[in-house]
Amino acid sequence: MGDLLVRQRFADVGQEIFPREQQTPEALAALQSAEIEKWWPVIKGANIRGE
Amino acid sequence: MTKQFDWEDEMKVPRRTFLRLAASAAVLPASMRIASAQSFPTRPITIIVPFPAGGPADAVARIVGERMRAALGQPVIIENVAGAGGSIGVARAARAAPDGYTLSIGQLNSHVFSGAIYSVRYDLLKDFDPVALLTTNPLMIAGKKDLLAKNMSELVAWLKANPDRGSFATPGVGSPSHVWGIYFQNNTGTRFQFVPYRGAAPAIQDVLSAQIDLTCLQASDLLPQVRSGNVRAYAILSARSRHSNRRPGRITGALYAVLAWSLGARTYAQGNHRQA
Repeated sequence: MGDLLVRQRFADVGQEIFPREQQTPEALAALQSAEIEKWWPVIKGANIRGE
Repeated sequence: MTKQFDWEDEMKVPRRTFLRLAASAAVLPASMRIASAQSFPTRPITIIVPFPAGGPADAVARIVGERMRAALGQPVIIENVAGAGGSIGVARAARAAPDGYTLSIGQLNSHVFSGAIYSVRYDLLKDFDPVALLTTNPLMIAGKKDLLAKNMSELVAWLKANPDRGSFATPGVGSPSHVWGIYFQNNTGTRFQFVPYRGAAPAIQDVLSAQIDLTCLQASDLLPQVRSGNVRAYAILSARSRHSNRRPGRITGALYAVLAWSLGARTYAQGNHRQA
């Protein structure tokens, strides 16, 4: 019940919940590492610097 | 009967307990209220949102926070510490005591890009303990309605035939939209101009008034305009599309979906934990 309610509230703001097996610390750690490996070279290659 | 956590075991290590709780906060059924967990938490918990109130990360934090409050029996304070692509709020979280009472929530800009774009004093991987992947919110590529390109292939062909002529609105320098645009250029051999705006709303406005050719924003922000025919949608960069298994290198919708896998504005939650 709480599950459905929360899911609906996320949907209301355009957000989808990750599949249950990915709602873990391990999945976040793996994804974050992969994202850093993927995007940092793109950012550095284009020399994007914060103002 | 839903499987219960082993509270006895968890309570020995408050920080871990918190992380486990937070990991499940979004999915804890009401029956799992934990009046018995006396030792943690004993005071309010703070979630630091590194973006202004009203944005997507803030919306998610408020929903999660409310659920946590119900499950943990302690107030959950949402603290918006915005600025510098989220790096100011992440830095604040990194400085907080690593006792489980401060959580960091964020998305691609704050928890992936910031380490490459800003001179930051935190290490995104070492200074935080991961808690959970929460939600995903796909980006959408869209253009002004009178653009001649009818689909992604035609769009790439047009951009190639007209280098540096197309304009691409982003909600800010170093936003997921901007970085994806560069990635797209790198992978298609196209060039166009990036026009940074202060957020999504003014970017959409200039696509509507045809002053800007293209943009890449959260699908939820663009869908109303797509539905009413005011902008043309070219692709959705969805986490789900990663399952499509087309060969990379072909200019098809699937290619962009694959590229897109890491692009949705994801929301992360992390417990702060600075390692010695």
